[in-house]
Amino acid sequence: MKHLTHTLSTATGLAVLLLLSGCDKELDTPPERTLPTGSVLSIKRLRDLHATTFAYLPHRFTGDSSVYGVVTADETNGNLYKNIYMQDDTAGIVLRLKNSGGLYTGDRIRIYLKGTTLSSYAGLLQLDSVDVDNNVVKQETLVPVAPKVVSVTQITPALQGQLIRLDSVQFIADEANGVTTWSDAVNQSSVNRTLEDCDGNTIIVRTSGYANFAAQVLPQGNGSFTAVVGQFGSDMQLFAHDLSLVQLSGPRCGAFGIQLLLKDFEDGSTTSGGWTQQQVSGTVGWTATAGYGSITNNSGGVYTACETWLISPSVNLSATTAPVLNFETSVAFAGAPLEVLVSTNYSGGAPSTATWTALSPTLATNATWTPSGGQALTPYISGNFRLAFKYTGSSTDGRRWNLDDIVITDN
Amino acid sequence: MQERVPVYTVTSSDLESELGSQDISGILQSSRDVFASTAGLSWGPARFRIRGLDGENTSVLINGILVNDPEAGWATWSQWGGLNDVTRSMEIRTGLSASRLVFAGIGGYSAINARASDQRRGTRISYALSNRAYDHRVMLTHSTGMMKNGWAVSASASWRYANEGYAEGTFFNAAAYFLSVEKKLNDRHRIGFTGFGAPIRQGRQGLAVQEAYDLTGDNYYNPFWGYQNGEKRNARVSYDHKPMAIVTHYFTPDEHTSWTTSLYYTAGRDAQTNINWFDAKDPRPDYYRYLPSYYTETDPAEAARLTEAWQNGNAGQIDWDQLYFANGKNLYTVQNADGIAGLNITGNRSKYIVEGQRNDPRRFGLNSVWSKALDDHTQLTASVGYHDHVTHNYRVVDDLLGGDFWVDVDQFADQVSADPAVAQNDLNRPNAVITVGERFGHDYDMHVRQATGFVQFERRWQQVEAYVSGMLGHQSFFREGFMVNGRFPDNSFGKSEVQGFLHYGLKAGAVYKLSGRQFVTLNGAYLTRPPLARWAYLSPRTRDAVVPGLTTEKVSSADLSYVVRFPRLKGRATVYWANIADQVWARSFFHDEYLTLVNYTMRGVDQRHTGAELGLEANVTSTVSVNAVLGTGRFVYTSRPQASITRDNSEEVFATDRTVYWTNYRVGGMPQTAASLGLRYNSPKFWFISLTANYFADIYLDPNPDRRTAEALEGLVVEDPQWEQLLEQTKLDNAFTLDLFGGKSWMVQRKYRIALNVSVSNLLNNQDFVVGGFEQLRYERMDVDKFPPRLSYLFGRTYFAMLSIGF
Repeated sequence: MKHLTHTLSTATGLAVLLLLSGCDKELDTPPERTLPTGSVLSIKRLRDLHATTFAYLPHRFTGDSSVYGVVTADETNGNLYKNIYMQDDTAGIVLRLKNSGGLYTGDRIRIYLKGTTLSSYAGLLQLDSVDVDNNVVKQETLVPVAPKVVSVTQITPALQGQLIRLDSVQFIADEANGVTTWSDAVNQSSVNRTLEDCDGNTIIVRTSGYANFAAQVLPQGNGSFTAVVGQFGSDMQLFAHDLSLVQLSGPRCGAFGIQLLLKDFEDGSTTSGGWTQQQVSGTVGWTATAGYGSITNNSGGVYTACETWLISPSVNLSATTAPVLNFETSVAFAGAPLEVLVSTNYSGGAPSTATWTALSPTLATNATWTPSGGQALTPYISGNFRLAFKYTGSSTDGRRWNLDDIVITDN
Repeated sequence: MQERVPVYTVTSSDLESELGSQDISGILQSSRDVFASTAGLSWGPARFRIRGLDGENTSVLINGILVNDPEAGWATWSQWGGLNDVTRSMEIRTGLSASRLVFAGIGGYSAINARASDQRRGTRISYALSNRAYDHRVMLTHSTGMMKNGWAVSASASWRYANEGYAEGTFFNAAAYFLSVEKKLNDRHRIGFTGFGAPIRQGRQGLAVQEAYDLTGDNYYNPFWGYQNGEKRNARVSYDHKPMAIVTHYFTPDEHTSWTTSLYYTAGRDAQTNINWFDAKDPRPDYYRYLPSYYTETDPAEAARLTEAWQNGNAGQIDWDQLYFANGKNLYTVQNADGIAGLNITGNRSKYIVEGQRNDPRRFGLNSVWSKALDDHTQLTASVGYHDHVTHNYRVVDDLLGGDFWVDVDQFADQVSADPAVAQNDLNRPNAVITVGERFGHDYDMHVRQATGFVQFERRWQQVEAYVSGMLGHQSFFREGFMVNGRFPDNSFGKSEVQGFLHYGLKAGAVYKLSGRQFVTLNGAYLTRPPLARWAYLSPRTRDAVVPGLTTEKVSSADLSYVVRFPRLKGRATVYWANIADQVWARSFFHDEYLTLVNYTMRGVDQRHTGAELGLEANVTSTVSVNAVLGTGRFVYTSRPQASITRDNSEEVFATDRTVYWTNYRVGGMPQTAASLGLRYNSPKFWFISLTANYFADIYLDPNPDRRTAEALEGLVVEDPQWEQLLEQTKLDNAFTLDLFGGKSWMVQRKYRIALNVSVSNLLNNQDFVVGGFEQLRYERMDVDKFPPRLSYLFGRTYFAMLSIGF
């Protein structure tokens, strides 16, 4: 009995202890805090205030006022960092965030202006020190904003901060080469590329090295380009905020036409892209160590006889109307000229197995790079067009021929 | 020989007051050996570790069951925290020794005896008042002893509580329960059941950088809490509860033989909360960019503003109201939510949440030990054991902090890859909309299976006693993922390859009796040990890739002791040597630029621990005793490990096989030298008082391995200041503390034993003693001070007073 009493009292004690320990603190939820709206300013009004009342000087808002807008470009793809583009029906503006993150394209937001600063940086008006947690109220999501369709020449400071679309534009031929990327992902530094219309008007496309598409090759075609408008000094700049709205896949236009062949030796190879070398006699070859192609039979005054061909891959010109060849040369020492030949029946192996016709381009006479002048290829339109550069060196003299930027386009 | 090699059982009640009063798992609370008791009681708070060894080197047993976590190696003492009355009976041995219970690690073992019939008969009620981790403790225990009807019952419960502990913003709320029943079936067979558990909720204290301590003027500044609606709230709350049940069969076929077999099951919750955030600013108040030093050179005005906010505002604490405010108006539409095309969910997306990081264990196993006295001089012991362990590792949303949901995508992957699948944490449920109680982030089981057996042979001669024991085991482990991670779709889901390791151990030792009162003992051990599953994976949260070249660890150790047992002088002097080779070392740290955990894993980590232990206890008079204790060692790394660096949210591997020049760096995190001098007065009138002075030296922070690589030093020459800064190991200051203990007991009505025990630690209130910390793994090569070490200070003067009644 005594044991039973003990056991009972122990059990009661246990129960009490467990009950006591069950009293975990239930946390209170803080009372809801709201941001006052105050007077409402349009973005256009902000821009006007900056130019007039604030006389282009930074202005820190201290009273209750708000601005409404829809986010048109966010940080998601890494091209923008702590920068957000927002616009309303009147104008656009860049928001500079105190901390990265939290605003997304399509958010309709109200910015409580107290604590933010209106200022311009290299000509770009921005609302600085926006604390997303403290200044921003989101009202709606996924609000579509139609880009303003403009031409390259219409992109002026008045369009700052706005979402625009350009039609019939393309990256310039130097960049739309299948090699050049949007930006420098390796060094993570920003890079400017150039977009042009069919009249040759150009605009800068600036992309951060941190963008998740920085290492992607630029699209080579022509089409529409949707972006937000920024500015740096007197340069207007476009920022691609959504690659799905960059649709450059149509046929190219303009002065340089559609590019059919490009050999710029930037990759250090003479044979990349399907080019071949044929050493008909001697062992002298083409090299490409300095970003251009080069051949010489002169080694410190010792001359080696040679006949060496650099032959392009087969180029299909059958769909073209007026194909044109351009390249550049420079030269040193004395010796034989460089011969530029074309064929429509070469299929590999010894050059002698095919019929070759010589062109008469302008060749360099000294170390200055000399454009060849456009060489019309219309007579050679075929499905198997080949281009060859032939150098014949003797054992008594010899030149160094340098060759670069071999391009065939169809105008 | 059992009685020759010191066997420590806890007896003196003044020592028990320390048990569990700090949540830090005491490897050794107390013992009769003056060295071991001083190390546990007076040096424990300074993080002294006997022989500098980690918890995985010490085996912890309850009723003969090994309770070291098979995944992590160590035993979690908080699992039975608050059950001091019934876990007090403990056999502790440090270093190498024979054991009829377990083939222990080189650190020794602690064997708790929670058997009902071994609990002291009677009832004990105690109340304790303290100002350490908790303020109040009540405990109630009743044990029947073995009754005439063949039953023995023991029950205990306790509650420990602090609204706020010693450090600001911490709290403590823990219960504990225990029931043990034993039935004597007949003279040969007994059956016992023991079940216990200790649910605990504890608000933690964080380590901060010195700048934060200086700014707040408080060396116990705690970055983990902040005000929510005027009340203090802690962001790092551990809430654990891992109950265990053991059924034991005690079989004594004859008077020379015992055969004990136990079956057990344990399962529960091991959880710690933390703040998580997405596409928002770091909410941790002591983030390095929120400290004035970040702006000292670039923006002195901002530095001054922050200094002011830290010193006179709440900049040093979490602003919970602000997190609610931000969450409450972050309208967001999740498109194709939960992977369902066209399902759009709109609501306030939480930018900040409190998540629970869970490592929930479940384990069953059995252990059987047979021991027989073959003759008067010979004892043979054999044992087999099997453990099947699973840790369920996952994250769960505990509090959305005013938002409506959390979206389970990885922030950084979102920014580095244009492919939206890459950002998904679970491709089986893309764009998962997570609410309170749902799992997210990572979710996997770690399975560990252990089978071991050992045999021990002991023999006693006239002047010599000796033993030899051998162990053979097999351990296997594998990962089972429940999410298809978008970064690692091919090796995150399902069961991984099984890693299996055969391991063995040998141990031998002898005692030579110089006389009846002087002994020399010599022990040696060599054992191999499987790598711990917890460190064997490069990034277990995201994928099943293991550390390349996984192999067993090789552990060897020897010790030589001289023991005296004179009536007025007892003592022991020991020299020891231990070598642990081929270890895996893994740590993860948050990198704010990569927005992820970076995993730093090394293999081939060797370390050597050598040193000496001295403990002397002299009875100067019948009432006054003096003791002198010294532990001094040299614990160093002895290899050049190979490091791999990976990250959780990308396939990018930062480094493989990077050589770490770690040889002769000190193993950090503990004083390598400690000394004490104690004076005790024992009154014949049942009271005592003792004063102990402690001195600690050779305290280092564990070196950040990456700072000791050729890669870290690239481009620097010896004359550059960075060279020295990168390579030099942080050595902490030596320190002195004073501890006071006292107690009195009364017998009332010849029935009630009343005892009052008081301990005061750090009597001189030394608040400048840095007892630990770590060099941050994140570092800046050219500006080493940008990420200074995080430090932890010894609590100032604390007390623990307990009144108990036994009847």
